[in-house]
Amino acid sequence: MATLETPLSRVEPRLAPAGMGAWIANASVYVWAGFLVVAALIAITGTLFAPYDPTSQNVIARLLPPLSESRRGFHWLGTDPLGRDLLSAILAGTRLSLFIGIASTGVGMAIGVSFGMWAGYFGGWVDRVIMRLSEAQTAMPMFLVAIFFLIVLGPSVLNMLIILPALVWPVFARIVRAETLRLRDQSFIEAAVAAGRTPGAILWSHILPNVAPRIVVLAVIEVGHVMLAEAGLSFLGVGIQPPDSTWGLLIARGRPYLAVAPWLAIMPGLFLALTVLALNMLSRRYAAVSGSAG
Amino acid sequence: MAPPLLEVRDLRTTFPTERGPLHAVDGISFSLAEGEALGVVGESGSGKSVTALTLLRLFGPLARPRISGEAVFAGGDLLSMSDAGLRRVRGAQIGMIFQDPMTSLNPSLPIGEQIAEVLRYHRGLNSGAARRRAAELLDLVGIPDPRHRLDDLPYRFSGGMRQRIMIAIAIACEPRLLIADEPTTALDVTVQAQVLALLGRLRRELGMALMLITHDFGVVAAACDRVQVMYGGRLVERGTLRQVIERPNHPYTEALLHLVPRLDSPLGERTQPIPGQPPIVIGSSVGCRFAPRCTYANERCQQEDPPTFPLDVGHSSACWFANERGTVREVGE
Repeated sequence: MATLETPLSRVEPRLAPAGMGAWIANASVYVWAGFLVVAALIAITGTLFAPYDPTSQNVIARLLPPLSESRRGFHWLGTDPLGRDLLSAILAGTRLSLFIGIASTGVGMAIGVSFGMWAGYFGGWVDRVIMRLSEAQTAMPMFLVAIFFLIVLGPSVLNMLIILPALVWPVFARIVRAETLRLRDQSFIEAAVAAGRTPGAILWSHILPNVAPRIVVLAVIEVGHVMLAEAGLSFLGVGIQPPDSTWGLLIARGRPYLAVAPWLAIMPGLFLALTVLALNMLSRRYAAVSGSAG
Repeated sequence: MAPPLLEVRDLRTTFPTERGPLHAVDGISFSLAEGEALGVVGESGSGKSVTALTLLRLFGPLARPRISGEAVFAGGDLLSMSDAGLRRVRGAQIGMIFQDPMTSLNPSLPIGEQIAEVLRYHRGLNSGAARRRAAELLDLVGIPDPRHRLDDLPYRFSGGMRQRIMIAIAIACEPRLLIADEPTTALDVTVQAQVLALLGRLRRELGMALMLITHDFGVVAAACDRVQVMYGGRLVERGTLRQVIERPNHPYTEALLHLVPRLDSPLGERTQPIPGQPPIVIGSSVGCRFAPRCTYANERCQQEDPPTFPLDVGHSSACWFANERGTVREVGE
């Protein structure tokens, strides 16, 4: 028998991930999740906790930098050219920003998942049409198409909810189709057919639960993407219009003052960036924990 | 005599391929009485699984075989039935279990739900009743502590346990026929014996007919009344278990029986593999399909397809030497 040089006892067993790294990973999950929970609460309660009415003007106290005081009181994030409190405006924009992000992703997800399952399970010409459509769309600069669409039909929340889902559905359709193709040949699907279930019931109760973890991972990331797209469109003036307000619109309104009052654009941008980052971090963490690759 | 539960006449299943039609099942006829256990034996590729899949039309949307013939089950032809009609038969009157218990259960649904689903769908039970019956079924197939295991996901069960759960799903609606496609192949030997014993017990208790598809004569011997041997999409020999095992007629049956290890064989003797592969019949074929691998084959076997020769009551063989071999055997014994 060959002799081994290294005695077994010298090999340090490392069953658990290194203590400090794991602790930071866990703690950061709570921080990011906490951030999103606060954002969601703000979205729900609206301007209830805003220090000022976001539309009330005070021209004397205009363009105040963050952490300054006016005769009305303290302004955490400063004021805009009309003396309106920036923090209050950001809080007021949270609702619509999150709503458009989540609702558009939801609609796009519903379309993409249905199409993807149909294409993957039944194949045939429906599959070919759906897949060519999604490829054609991936090949086009969809952001420009969205701008064109909104210029033609007019900028409104409703039109945003039509064009943004159209941007995200192909991602869902392709991943769900691939998963469905893989699942379709597993024998539990054959067993379900042999048990007399209809194709619809098989898709709903046997395919969907098995693709759900991957859909969740993807959806969370896509909410971030959609929020960025909304901000981009609003920044360009074809998205949300005043008096409605979103973070993207606030960034646009701060742009002319970048040289004199950079915080007007930076602060709402920071909120947007942190939200997208939080969504990505949580999605990655969920993928790691649930064992489904994002 | 009462009409048989299942009567199959001239069943043919043909897959279109680029090189021509592939005859997976090529004109077989058989019947199965109420409560009877029939073993279908053959190598991989002999058409035995395709026969079962054809009966329930279990082909995915991509494989669209041409099916002809008749399969009259309890008065209705399974092959010409509407999809909706067939769905009422599948799972309710004909249950089916598959080879690989590791992939035959949905990995993300609790097992109780997978059993209850079938009961709600076919029997219209409400969720409470379906759940209670699911627990009873688990108990019936020998899962310990069934009430507490209903909400467990499949990964918490071993292969043998999962096959028991598959059986519980298949018999949930008390079908009149259970089709088992290689139910024990993926299991280790001791578990095989338990699962076969379970199938036998359930068959007696529920009065089900059983169609057991396997490549292993040992499995057939443990669970079946009658046997039919398939080769190249055709039935080459059929008979009662005794007839086929004690007086095998077709050379293929004989070769398969030589593959079963025996306790009473002399020490050091090896089982004899059959050289070559089973044929894949594309287009038309000439002569006996087993001839290329048969040690007895002569000129005639290469050129003419043998008809089926009756040997005894219920015993028949599709071999040119059927009668000769039959008599030789009888003299020999």
